[in-house]
Amino acid sequence: MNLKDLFSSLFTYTPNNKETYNFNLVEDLNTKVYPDSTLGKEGNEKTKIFPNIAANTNYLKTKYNLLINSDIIFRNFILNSRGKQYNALLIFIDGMINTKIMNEFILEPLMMRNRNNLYDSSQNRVISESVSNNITVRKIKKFNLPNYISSCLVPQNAIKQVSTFEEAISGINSGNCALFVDTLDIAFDIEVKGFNQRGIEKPSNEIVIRGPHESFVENIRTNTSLIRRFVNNENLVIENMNVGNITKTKCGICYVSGLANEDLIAEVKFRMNNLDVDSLLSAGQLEQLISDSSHLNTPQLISTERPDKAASYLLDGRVIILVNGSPYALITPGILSDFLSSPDDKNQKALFSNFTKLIRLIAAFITLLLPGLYIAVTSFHQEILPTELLFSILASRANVPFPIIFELLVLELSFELIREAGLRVPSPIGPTIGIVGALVMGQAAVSAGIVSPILIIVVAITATASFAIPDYAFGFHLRVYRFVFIFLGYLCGFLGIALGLFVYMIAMCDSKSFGVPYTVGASPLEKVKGSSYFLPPIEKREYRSGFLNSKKETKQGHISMKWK
Amino acid sequence: METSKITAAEAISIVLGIFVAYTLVALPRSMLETTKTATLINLIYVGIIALLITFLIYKLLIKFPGSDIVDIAEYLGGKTLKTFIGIVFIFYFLFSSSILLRNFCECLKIVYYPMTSLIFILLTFIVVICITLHHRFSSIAKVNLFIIPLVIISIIFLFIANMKNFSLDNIFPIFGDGLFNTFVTGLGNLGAFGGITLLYFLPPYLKEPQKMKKIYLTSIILGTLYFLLCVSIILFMFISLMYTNQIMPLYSAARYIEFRKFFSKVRVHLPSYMDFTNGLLLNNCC
Repeated sequence: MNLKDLFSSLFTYTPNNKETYNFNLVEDLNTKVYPDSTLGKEGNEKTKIFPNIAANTNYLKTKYNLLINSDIIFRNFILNSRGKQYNALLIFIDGMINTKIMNEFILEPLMMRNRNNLYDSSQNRVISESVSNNITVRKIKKFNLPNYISSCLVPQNAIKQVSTFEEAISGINSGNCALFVDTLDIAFDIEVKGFNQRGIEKPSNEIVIRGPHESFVENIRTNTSLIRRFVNNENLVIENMNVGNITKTKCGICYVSGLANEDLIAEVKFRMNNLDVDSLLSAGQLEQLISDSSHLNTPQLISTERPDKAASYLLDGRVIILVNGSPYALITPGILSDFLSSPDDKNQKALFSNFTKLIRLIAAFITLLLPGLYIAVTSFHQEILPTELLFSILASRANVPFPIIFELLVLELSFELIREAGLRVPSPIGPTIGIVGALVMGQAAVSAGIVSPILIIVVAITATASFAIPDYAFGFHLRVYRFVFIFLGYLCGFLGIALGLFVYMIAMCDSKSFGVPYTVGASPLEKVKGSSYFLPPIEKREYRSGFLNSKKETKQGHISMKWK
Repeated sequence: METSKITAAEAISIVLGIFVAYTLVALPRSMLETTKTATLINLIYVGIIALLITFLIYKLLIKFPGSDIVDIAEYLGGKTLKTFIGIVFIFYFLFSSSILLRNFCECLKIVYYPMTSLIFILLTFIVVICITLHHRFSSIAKVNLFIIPLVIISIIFLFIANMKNFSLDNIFPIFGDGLFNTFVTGLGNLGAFGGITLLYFLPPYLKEPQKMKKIYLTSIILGTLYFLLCVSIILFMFISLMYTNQIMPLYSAARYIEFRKFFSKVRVHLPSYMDFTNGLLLNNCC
């Protein structure tokens, strides 16, 4: 660019004729661009498989958008059977199958010439023959190609004959392959899954000292095998169900048939069968879809990544729901005391377990009420504090220019920010950020006179107590509702907190989880067998949870330790 | 509102909740004003009468299983009697709970919120009542089960902690102002057992109707014991001139608790229990 152009660009007006790229997804929000798609609205219509392989091929090519889909593989080959040759088609999704299994146990036996395929007898086998009055009567067994293929030609452990495209497509989508043979109006859904998946690891969110260290993974079949190993009984039933009109996510409903209440099983199935959603991608979504409505948004299904915990509840008579793709199992019903219990409680002596349970109960109260109580005491009920402590608090707050509610909210929100940021920080610097955020910022805030040191202690104790809650969702609930008590304490002191707690308790007592009152067994005056919060010694844990009304009331003999 | 059943323990705690709510405001004082030092004897006397009345109520209700007093009134006198009885009870609950609420809010204002307008304190309770009435009766009963034992334990603690301040001379003369005052005029103390009215309405809510007798009699016995405890605290601690001038006598008694320095201000906890129990009473009445 020369000097003249530079001068003219700086000091003269030049209209910009260049069109700038401006992409808008939706021009007008009130105008529908596309009509409603019918995807996921197929309902119960089933399309039968055609006996002609060309028709099947065309149908599936359209269904799978083969022209643009890059990982759907259509493998045409000639199938040899009893000296006859048939056109065959194998469909699978690249990346989801085990190539070795497919080559060795499906393609090779079907394509290669081997003794079975060379067997050159007539298609119909004469079973018996009798001649009378010069009339020969032969009993013939017609050659059944599908049975022959599945029984003699394909040495694969899981092979199923399907008669509709929907079943075949479902198998393909889950990682199986589908075999179509010319002249047959059925297809074969053959198990060849070989996609990469995470191995069984230690639980990341439910750590115990003495219990097993295995956790669920994303694959539903691995999870069911983990549960089966613990339960080790043929009465364990795992029913399959698909949820999601588009994704048709596999879900497993697990229960022990001689223990679980039939009404509970029916209710679980009813709720899961009546979900009109396009997709289900996690157990958390399913939990929200099938939970009873609660004014307090308390969790009503126990969510666990531990198979031992799931098995323990199964043997108590509860129902477990597994979702393919999610490493969490849902246990129903869930009551208040379940969310304050740890899987390790039953692995320890009753005295130690009850001690930790008491600590957790205190932690729950601290999480919910401590900030509100602090603000109530400092704002309305200063006389409750010993005089020296009162002077200390006053002295520490002397330089703070903000009202106590502002101070408390700033600290609480800062802590929530640090907690949320800690989830997303890359792991090498995660602990560093936690230390920087918590310690340095807190110290700096005190030094700057923004907050008082006692409030830092209150917030820190509250945060620590919230980590002591075993269930993440319940801890979250307490963390959210503490803000309500903070406002109530600020507005009305102990009166506000007492009345707020009253309403809170009523709302909690009003909640139900799959027909079971949420607070059952929480009061020591309420006698429900097997469901008190504090555990009796192991020899006295005779009964299953009474509120489940399970088919077998006792889980151990009156004298379980017969050796004594 | 969905009708859901309550257990025996919950039913007992509901009835006790009404007794507890009244005692925390001014009931012990009004009882002591009537019968002075003979209140303990008078309480045992009216307790026995209340027990007899409860037994009569039980006998009436057992003839009509699953029915409350309004259903029985309909059976006996048709819609007219039913309406009349219903209106009587509605007015009774309305007035008693309103008066209790007003008394309690005034006490709270005097003790803790002198600068706050009474209407705001009243509104707080009314908002809570409106919210909790959207929930099931069994939920309110269940909350009673949590709170009443705590209140009773705190009253027992109040008794034990104040024992060093007790003066047994305060119970003399043992018949107070005389036998007539104790056993005739003192019949007015039967009003302390106002919770008996709730017994008329409990039968349809009971999960175990066969335990009705046990529920009714246990409630009255426990109520009597509770009144005895509360009155004892005030009677043994204060002379008559003092307790007649107290706003909330139990609160005043709590001010005397001292376990070293730290527990010298335990009285502040009392209003929290009072807030709970008043919430319970008001909800039970509604």
